[in-house]
Amino acid sequence: MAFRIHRPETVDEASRLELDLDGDCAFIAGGTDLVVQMSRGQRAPAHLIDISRLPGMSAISEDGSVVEIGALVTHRELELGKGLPQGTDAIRDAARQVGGVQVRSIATLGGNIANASPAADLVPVLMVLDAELELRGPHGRCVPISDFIEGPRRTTRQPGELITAIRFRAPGNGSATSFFKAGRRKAMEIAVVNVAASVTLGADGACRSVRIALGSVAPKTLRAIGAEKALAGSPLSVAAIREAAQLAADCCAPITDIRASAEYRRLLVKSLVERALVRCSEQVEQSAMSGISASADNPADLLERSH
Amino acid sequence: MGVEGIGARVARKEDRRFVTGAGRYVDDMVVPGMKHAAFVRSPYAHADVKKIDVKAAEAMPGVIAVLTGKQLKGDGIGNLICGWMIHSKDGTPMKMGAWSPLAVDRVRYVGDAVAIVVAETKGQARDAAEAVEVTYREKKAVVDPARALAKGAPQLHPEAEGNLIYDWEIGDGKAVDAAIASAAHVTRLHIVNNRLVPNAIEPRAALGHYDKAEDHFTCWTTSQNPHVARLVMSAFYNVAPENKLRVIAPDVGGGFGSKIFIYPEEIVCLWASKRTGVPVKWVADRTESFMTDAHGRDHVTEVEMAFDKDNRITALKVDTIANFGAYMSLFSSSVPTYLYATLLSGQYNIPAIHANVRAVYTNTSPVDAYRGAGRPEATYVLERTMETAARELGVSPAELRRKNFVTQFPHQTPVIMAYDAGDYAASLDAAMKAADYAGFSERKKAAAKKGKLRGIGMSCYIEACGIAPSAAVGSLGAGVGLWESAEVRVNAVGTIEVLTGSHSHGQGHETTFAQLVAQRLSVPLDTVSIVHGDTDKVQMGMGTYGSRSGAVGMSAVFKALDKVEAKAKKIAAHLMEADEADIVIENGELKVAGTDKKLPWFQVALASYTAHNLPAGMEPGLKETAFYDPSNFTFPAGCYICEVEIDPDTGVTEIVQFVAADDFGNIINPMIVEGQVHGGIAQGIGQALLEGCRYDPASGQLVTASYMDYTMPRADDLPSFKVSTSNTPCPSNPLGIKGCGEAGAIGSPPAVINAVTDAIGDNDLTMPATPLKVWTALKAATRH
Amino acid sequence: MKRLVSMTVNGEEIELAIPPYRTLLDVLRNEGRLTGTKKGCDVGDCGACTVIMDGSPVNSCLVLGIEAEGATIETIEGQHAGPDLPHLIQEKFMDHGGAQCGFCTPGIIMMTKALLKENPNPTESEVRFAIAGNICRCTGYAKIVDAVLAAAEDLRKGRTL
Repeated sequence: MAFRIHRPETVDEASRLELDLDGDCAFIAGGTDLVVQMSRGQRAPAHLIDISRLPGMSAISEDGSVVEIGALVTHRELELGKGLPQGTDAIRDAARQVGGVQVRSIATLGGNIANASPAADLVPVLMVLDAELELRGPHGRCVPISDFIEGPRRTTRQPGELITAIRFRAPGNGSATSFFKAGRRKAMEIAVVNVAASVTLGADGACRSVRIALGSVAPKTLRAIGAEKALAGSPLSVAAIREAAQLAADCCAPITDIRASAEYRRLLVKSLVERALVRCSEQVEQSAMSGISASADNPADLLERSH
Repeated sequence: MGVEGIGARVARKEDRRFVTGAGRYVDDMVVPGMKHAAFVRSPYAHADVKKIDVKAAEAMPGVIAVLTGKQLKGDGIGNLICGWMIHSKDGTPMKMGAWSPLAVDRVRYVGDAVAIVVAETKGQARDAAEAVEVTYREKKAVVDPARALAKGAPQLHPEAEGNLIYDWEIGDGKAVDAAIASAAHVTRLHIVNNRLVPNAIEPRAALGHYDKAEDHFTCWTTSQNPHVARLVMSAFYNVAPENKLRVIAPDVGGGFGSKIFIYPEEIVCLWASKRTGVPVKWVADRTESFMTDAHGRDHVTEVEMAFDKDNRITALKVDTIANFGAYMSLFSSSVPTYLYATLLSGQYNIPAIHANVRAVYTNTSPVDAYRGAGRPEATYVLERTMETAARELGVSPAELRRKNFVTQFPHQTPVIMAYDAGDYAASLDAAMKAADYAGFSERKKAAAKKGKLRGIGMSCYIEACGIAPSAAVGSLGAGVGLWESAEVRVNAVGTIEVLTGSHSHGQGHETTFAQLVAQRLSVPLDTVSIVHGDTDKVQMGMGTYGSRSGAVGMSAVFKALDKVEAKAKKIAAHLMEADEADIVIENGELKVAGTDKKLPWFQVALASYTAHNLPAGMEPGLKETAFYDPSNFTFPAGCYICEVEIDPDTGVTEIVQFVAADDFGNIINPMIVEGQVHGGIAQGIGQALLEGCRYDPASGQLVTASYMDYTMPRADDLPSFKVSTSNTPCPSNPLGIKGCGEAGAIGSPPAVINAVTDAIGDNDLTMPATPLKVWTALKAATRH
Repeated sequence: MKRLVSMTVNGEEIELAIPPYRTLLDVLRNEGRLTGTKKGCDVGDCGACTVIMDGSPVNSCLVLGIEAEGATIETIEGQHAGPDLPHLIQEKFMDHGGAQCGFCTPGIIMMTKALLKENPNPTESEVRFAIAGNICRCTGYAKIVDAVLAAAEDLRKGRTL
């Protein structure tokens, strides 16, 4: 199979290339999804636009209280967490469960989002962080991640648009995030269900904000709005968490496929949402007590501290 | 035992090339002028082939030839065979359907090959394969054996009415029925042994090369038995007469049984290389491997075990349906009969046994031997039943087993096998001690406090391996003998080559066989080379499978060494003017006992080749061949204990410990034995918890055709294992070796499932016990 | 239409003419004539093709050859302490029986090297997690883990990778 590979040197050049090539092309960054699809004959673009070396898209930074993750940041870098602020453990937890180390070394965050798999592990996490995508192209725009993904492998990306960065507000005091995934085994598994939660508790222990996102239970990651509403303003008691988890399970309509039945997926949602909320609550408590960051550079440390 | 001899924990000689990436596997081979092949395969599980149009494919870039089944048959290439005759109860022979290496007018499973494309590059061959236009008329497919047997099912082969290959039995049905009728207790179970895909990490490959000048074929192939491949390809597939066909199995990346069989691909590559005049290489991609490597297991069994009022087993009745897939693979017929039913006595004294086995065609990949081949299936039936019976009778699993162990040897079972020696209670004790079985209830309580469910399960297995005494298997229908051969060639200045018909594809023969020689002839390990895998170099042999290389392969070496030793001693005695009976071999020298007269080994070797001063009438040279035919199967046995912890919210099972106490008789290299057991246990755990091969019932599509869908055990799925061996030497071969290659895969699945069912309190669980199934069973259990 | 790509492989700068759609794995094995890196699945699931690229372990079947332009690649062929001398990790694999059929071994050794370079003191569970992307069908992983931990212990005693 013959094609050409282009290496634009700027985002604008990359954007213009896609517009000029008018369709029979694909962006390639890490390539971990695309190369497999090409290997299997599922995709055969005549042109590849290599964006893996574009400048300005590979850093994790914080400006004021806004965290920016460049779209070319790899899952491995997210797993190691350097530069990620307090309260974003869910990003590390989700990143480390994607593929194996070899895949994580090259698979980029932007690529994973653009691939729009309903099972993408980082999407629920970014949703509960109310993350926005920065898209550059003929018209630059910022779009909430929940609006960007429309369905399996479908996004609102227009020709000529590239995801260049992912931004979210750093979780403040009293905030924590968590992520849980259930598959049939640990690594190398496409999620059967994945769940992310973010919680901000006031000094009185009541939920000032709650976000719960569910993956692999619908054509796109969805927010468990009913569960969130039930928790708003209440403390995270055992009963409240259980009720919220049940509401989350009730609000989704998962499919039965080779990996799991619908009923089992719903059960997992309930169980994972419960765990996610409990973990958030524990983390808020811990960081309040210790007065220091609840995050760690080494996930192993993290596991040790939050047993 | 010397530092490098029998029983020594020496590092493997072959590892140097493996750890440096210098291993040479078939896909690493390059032959000048080599081209690449891709197969055109049926996307349908069952269809008539109406037309094959190759014109478009032939015109594509780089294509050298597109060849079909018609051309193959026109050139006289034969159909694949099953080499073990089994008769049904009514005396009729098994119904073997025709299996052409390239399908001519009918395809019977997704992946069935209909054409081969040979092209300059692999990519070009694949692209052209997609351009071959095959007109199929789709037929209804059936993937479930019970449905295949039912009236109105699609018929796969005209030879097999009702898709029934054979309806075979063994044992005494009347005695069993009577015992069941009068039993104090009967345990009944429906048991499924799930279909597995062997998945050696090296995909199958073949490189066929026809040399026109010499009118001679060479085939490099991923095979566990190159001589058998040569025999079969010559005698049955008409590729070439044996003397015109060389088969080389170089480094092979795992087999586990799946690389025993001679597949369509190597036959077709050889034929195509003659047709096209170029060497033809084919390497499976992983999905192709999933679809076309012989699958394993796939039994459904109804079992009844009868007990008297003292909890002694009085009878065992087994009714098995075995799914053979679309065609009968080379050894398929033997797996659910003589490799299965003859082990149904297990470690127990069972007065009456009856097994009925029906073999069935379905539109799925052909099924054949996979690590354990019949013995895991037997062990699973027995050990799940024993555990269930213990629970029903309110007796501890250990006590029920102890009560029924065979303790007097030799022991003739009602199903042909006669166990020679063993101490089953000792293995059980060792395993229970190593597992701290007594402390389990405390651990269970502690886990419950954390909201987790703990369970413990055991499996007392016995198997028959060291395959096999030729006359015995011949009388049972085998088309081949299962002896092994060895030539020990002492070189002129004393280094030694052993040419063995065994083949190492992970088992470390280059080391273990050398250890035997080093010990016997008292020479350094690095002066001994083991040669295997090339029919031009090595005399006829039967290959490696069925845990036979130690028991049978090394016994052949042993016998050849006897002859070498005898001749060397004669020469030494002659040279030193001593009595042959006074010569001993020690420290690399042949000495006259009780004197200081000695000759270094190399000097004796040299003397045999210079022949200046040999005993009268003795031929020059020091090279001896032996063929060893075992007198019996060997019977490794042991006890495995598995402890699990289950998360009730998700159904996820974690194995917290796995203990294996095996009796393999004498062992050559403990490190290698441990590795074999570890690998077998990993595969057994894979079967029990992770691996599930699934076909879509409507279309016959193989749904699990990649590592994303078929869950292979990975490093973080498995614990470390506690393995130990005891040793009651095998009485039936000169080395006392029982063999260890398959035990891990045989004994482990029931231990795991017994543990999981113990944890969740529900016995109704099929393999793989995925989190979903465990969770579902838990819900069912808590409702009661 | 072939394209000239230059990269550094095992310390040597090489230039290869490669077809555009060629994975790095195929480039290494075919054009590069380095057959030590193996192909087990070609879709990034088994890890047999693991090499170290610009310091990170990657599945070479997921990297296009042209993507490796200018990269520094380490394969199994480049691992040795000296001419004909095994490297620490290789030595431990031999000592502990970490290889059986040898097919997954190059990929696992490269992954081990990457692991120990980043974390010279891993726990057993960290080792198992790190090699979770490499499938071995023969060993059940136990002796591989032993070998990796033994290599780590030697690193602590002052030996180098």
